[in-house]
Amino acid sequence: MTREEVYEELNGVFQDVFDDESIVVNDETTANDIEDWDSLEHINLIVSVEKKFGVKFNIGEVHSMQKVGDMVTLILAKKGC
Amino acid sequence: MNITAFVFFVFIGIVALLYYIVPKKARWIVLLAANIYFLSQANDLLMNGFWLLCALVTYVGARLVEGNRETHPGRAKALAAVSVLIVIGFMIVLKDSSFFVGIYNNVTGLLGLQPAPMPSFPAPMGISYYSLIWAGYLIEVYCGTCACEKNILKFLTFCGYFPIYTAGPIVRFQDVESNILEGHSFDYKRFTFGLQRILWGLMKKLILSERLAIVVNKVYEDSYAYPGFYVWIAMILFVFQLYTDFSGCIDIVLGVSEMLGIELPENFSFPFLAQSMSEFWRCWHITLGGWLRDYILYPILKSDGMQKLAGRCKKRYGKKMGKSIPTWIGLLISWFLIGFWHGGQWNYILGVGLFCGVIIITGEMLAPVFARLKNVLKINDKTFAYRCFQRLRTFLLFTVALSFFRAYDGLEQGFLVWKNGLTVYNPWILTDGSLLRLGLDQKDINILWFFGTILAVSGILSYVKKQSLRELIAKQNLVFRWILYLFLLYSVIIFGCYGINFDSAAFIYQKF
Amino acid sequence: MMKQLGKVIAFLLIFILGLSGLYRIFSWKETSGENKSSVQALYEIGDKDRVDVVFIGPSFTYSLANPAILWDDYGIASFNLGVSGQDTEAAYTSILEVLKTQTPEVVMVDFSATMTEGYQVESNRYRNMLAYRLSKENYELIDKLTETFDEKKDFLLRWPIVHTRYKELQRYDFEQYMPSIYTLGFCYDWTIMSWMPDFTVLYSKEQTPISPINQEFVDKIVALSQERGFSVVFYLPALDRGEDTQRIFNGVEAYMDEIGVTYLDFARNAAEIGIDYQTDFIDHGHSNYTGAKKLTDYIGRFLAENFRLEDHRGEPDYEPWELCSLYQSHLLAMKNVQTLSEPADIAEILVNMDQLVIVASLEGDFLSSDRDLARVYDTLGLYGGEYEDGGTWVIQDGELTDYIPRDTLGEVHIRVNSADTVSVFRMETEEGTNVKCQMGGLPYNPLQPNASGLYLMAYDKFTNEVIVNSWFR
Repeated sequence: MTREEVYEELNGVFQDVFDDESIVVNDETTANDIEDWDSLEHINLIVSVEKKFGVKFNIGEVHSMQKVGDMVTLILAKKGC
Repeated sequence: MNITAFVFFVFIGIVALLYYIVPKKARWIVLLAANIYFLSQANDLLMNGFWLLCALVTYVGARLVEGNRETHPGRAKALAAVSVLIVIGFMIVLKDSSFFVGIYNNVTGLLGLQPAPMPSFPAPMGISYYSLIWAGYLIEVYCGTCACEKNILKFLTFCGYFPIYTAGPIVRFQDVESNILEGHSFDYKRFTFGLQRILWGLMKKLILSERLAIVVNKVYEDSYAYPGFYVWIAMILFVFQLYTDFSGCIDIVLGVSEMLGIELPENFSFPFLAQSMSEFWRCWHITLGGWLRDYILYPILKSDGMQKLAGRCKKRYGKKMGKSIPTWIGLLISWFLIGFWHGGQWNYILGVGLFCGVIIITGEMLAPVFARLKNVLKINDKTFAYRCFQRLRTFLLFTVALSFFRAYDGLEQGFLVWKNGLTVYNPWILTDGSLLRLGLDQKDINILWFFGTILAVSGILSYVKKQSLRELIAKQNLVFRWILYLFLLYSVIIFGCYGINFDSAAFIYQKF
Repeated sequence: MMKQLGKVIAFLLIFILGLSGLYRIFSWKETSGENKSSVQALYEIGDKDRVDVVFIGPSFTYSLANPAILWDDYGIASFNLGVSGQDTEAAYTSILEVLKTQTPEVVMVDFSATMTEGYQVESNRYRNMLAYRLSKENYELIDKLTETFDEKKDFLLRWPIVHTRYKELQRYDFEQYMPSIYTLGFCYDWTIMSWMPDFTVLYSKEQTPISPINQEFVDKIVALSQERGFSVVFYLPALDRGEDTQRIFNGVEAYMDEIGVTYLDFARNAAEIGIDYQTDFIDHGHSNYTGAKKLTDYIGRFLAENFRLEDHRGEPDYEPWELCSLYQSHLLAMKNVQTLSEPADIAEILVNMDQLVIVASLEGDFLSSDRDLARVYDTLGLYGGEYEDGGTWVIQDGELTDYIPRDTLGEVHIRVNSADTVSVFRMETEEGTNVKCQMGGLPYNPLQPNASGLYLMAYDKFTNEVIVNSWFR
C-alpha cells in the first residue's frame, strides 16, 4: 500500500466517524483541526481505523500519535509496507 | 523534606552548584546523588526498602518485557502484567486498603461478625505518584513505544528524580528521560526563570494557601459553630486553598527543574477559566487526567468487550447512543478510579471522582436539551457574558466536588457540613464582624485580598496575552523587574506563614 | 557572561541590604518602654569601654539597681543588664556579651533565678535569645535553650520568627526609644503594693544542697571572673518565696560560703537597708522607685567600702551617665509637680527645667481667682502681654516665643519630637474666645467656652511626658 492509498481510505473513515462528508486529512492534520475530535472521539476513530485497515494498535501507540501522519506511518508499518 | 523549608533551598542551591560545575556527561550523577540524599531524608529505612524493591521490580520487569517482546509475546505480556500489578499493588495496599476493609466491615456488620480494624500503613513519600509513573513506563515498554533503560543507575536517576516526590507531576518516561539524563549547559534566562517560578509558588503556598487553610479548617472542624454562610465561604475558600497549595507546589517543582534545565509537563492551565467540567479536568491536575485517560479509559474503550457492547447499543439505540453508552461506562470507571487514587475513602471517590464524572456525563446527555433551551430563550452562547456564566457554573460545581474532598474524616463529615450549611440562614455574618472569628484578623484578610488579586490579575493577563507571566515581566525594564522581584521576595519573607510560630506548611497533595 | 554575573551580584547585594534594613525594623526589641530588656542600650553605649559596674539578672534586677543614683552619689559608671525572665544560662551569656566591649571592675549577679533551675517561660526565652547580636555565645545559648533542629534554625536565622512582627510594628521599631537608652537599664515604676513576707520562711535554716545546674552557674561565673579579672558579687532580691525556694536559696548561699564568694541577701538585711514592705514594692518582689533608691544606696555604700571605683563625674565621654542623671531629675521633677496644687509652686519647678514646652493661658474671670496667678506670670516670665489682659503664652526651652492676646484668634504649632506636634489654638466660642490645646488630634484640653482661670500645660521634650495639664480656677 502507498501513502496515497491509505489516505483514500482514511478520508472515508474520518468522514464517517465525524459525520462530515467534507473532511480531508493529510500528514499534518491534528485533533485541533477537526471540531469534534476530542479525546473520547479519538478512541472511536482508532477503532474504526483498526477495522478498516485490519490492524491493531496497542495503547502505547494510541497516544503516541500526535498527528495523522504518525497514524499513517504506523498503519503502513503494521501492514508490512 | 518539606519543599518550602529553608533547608530545601540550601539543598537546591548545593545541587544546582554541583550540577553546573561537574562536566556535562556526569551531571546526571549529581542528580542521582541528590535523589539518594532526598529520599534518605524523606523516608525511613523500611520505606526506602519498599521503594527500592518496587524500583527494581520495574527495572527488571521492563528489561525482561523488552527482551521477550518480539520472541515470546505471551511471556512479555505476562511479565508486564505481573510487574504492573506489583507496582500498583504496593500503592493500593499501602494507601487504599481502608477502602476494602471498609467494604469487608460493611459485610461483616450485616452478618453480625467482628469487623476488622482499619488499617493504616506508612507509605514511602510520593508513592501515589511514582507508582503511576513506573506503571506507565512498563506499559509503554510492553507496547514498544518506549525503549527501556538498561543502565540501572540511570534508571534510578529517573525513578528517584526528587522534585516530583511531593506532588508530581506524573511524567512519562519517554518524555523526560533524555531531559533528566542529559547534562544541560547553564542558561542564564532559564535558570532565573526557574528561580522566579519558585518564588511565585512560594507566594501562592506560604502567603495564600496557608491563610486560607486556617479558615477552612475551623469551619470543617466544627460546622455546628460555623453554619450557614460560614460553610459556603469555607467551601469556596477551600477551592482556592487547594489551587494555591497544589499549583504552588507544582511551581516550585517545575521551577527547580527549570533551574537544572529539565522541562516537566504542566499540571495546571488556567483552570478557573474553563467553561465546562470536562475542560476543567484538562486544565487541573492535567497529568493525572492524562494518565487515566491513556492507561485506563482508552484500554477500556478499545477492549473487545466494550466494542461488542458498542455494537449492540448502536443497533438498539442508534449511532449516537451507540458511541455514548460505552463511553459513559468507561468514564464512570475512570472517574471512580480518579477518586480512588486520592484515597480509599468515599469522600474522595464521590467528591472528586464520581460526582465530576456524573456531571460530565449528564452534561453530554443533556446537551441537546440545553441547545433547545438556549434557542427558546434566545441565549447567545458565544458572548462574553455566557462564557462567564459557564465559568461560574463550572467553578460552583467544582466547589461542590471539593466540599466532599475536604471532608477528610469521611463522607459523614461532608454531609454534616452540607446540612449545617443548608439549615442555617445567616447572611449577617458578612457585615457584623463575625468573619474575624475564623482565625484571621483584618490584616490577614487584607493580605489575602491583595495577593489574591495579584494572582487573579496576573493569571488573566497571562491568559489574554498567551504568554507566561515571567515572559511578560522579562520584557520590561530592569528597574521595574527588579522592583517586582524584590517586592515578591520581601513579601514572602515577611507575610509568608512559616517558622515555628505556624504549623508545618505541609502540602495537601503530599499525602497522596 | 560577566554582565550576567554582575547583575546577579548586584541583585543579591540590593536584596541583602534591603533585608538588613528591614531587619532593623523587624528585630525583636523593647518598644513598650517597660524596659524588659536593656540589651539595645548596652549596644548603644558599647562603643567605648566605660562601664565599671554591671548588674546582671532577671526582672528583679532592672527594678532595683538605678545607675542614675550611683552616678549622682559616687560618679560610678554602672549599667543594668536586667532582662525579664533571664535564667542562669542566659546570665552567663549576658556577662560574656558585656565583656565584649567593656572591662567592668565589679559584676553583680542576681541569683534569684536559681529557684527555677533553668526553666524559662516562652516569651522570656524569646527575649534572651533574640535580643543579642549573632555571635558564638548567642549561638551556644540558642543551642542550650532549644530542642529541635527547626527551632535552632529559626532562632539563628531570626527572620522565621520576627517576620510575624509585621502585625505589631510600633513607632519604636522605626526609631529608637530614647528613655530605654537614658535609663541605662533601670525600670522606673511608681506603683505601690503593700505586702509582708513570711518571716518564718525567710529565716529558716534548712537547705537543699545546691543542684548541679545551680552549682555550674556559680562556678562558671566565678571562673570567668578570675579569668577576665573582675570581681563578682552575687545578690538576692527581697522577693516573696515559699519553703522549698528558701531551702534552695539557703543551699546556694551555703555553697557560696564554702567557696568563699561574696553575696548580699537583701531580704535578710532588710532592716539595715531600710526596706519597708508597705511602700517599696510594686508586687511581691519587684521594687518601685522608692525601694530601688534604698537598695541602690545600700549597694552604693557596699561598693564604696569594698572597692576603689573611680569617680567619673565631669569627665568627657561619660555623657550617657550625665543624660541618665538628667533624665531622672526630669522624672522626679514631674513626680514632684504632680503632688503640688498651687500653680505658683508648679511654675517654680517648671522654670528650672530645660527642654520644656509650656503653654499658659489666662482666661475668663481669672483676676478674681483665689490663687496667686500673678506670681505664675512673674515666675514664668510671661511678659509679651500685660498680666491683666490675659491671653495665651507659649514658652519653648525657656524663651517666650508666642503671645496671643485674648480677643485675637490664632494658632501656634510646636514640633516636640520627630513625629509629634503640640498645637495651641485660640478659637471663637459663644463666650468670646478661649484656648484649646492638643497633640496628634487628641485634645489635651478640649475647648471649654466658659473656662476661667489659668490653663497650664507643660510638655517635657526630653522624657516625652506631659508634666502638667490643668485648669487652675
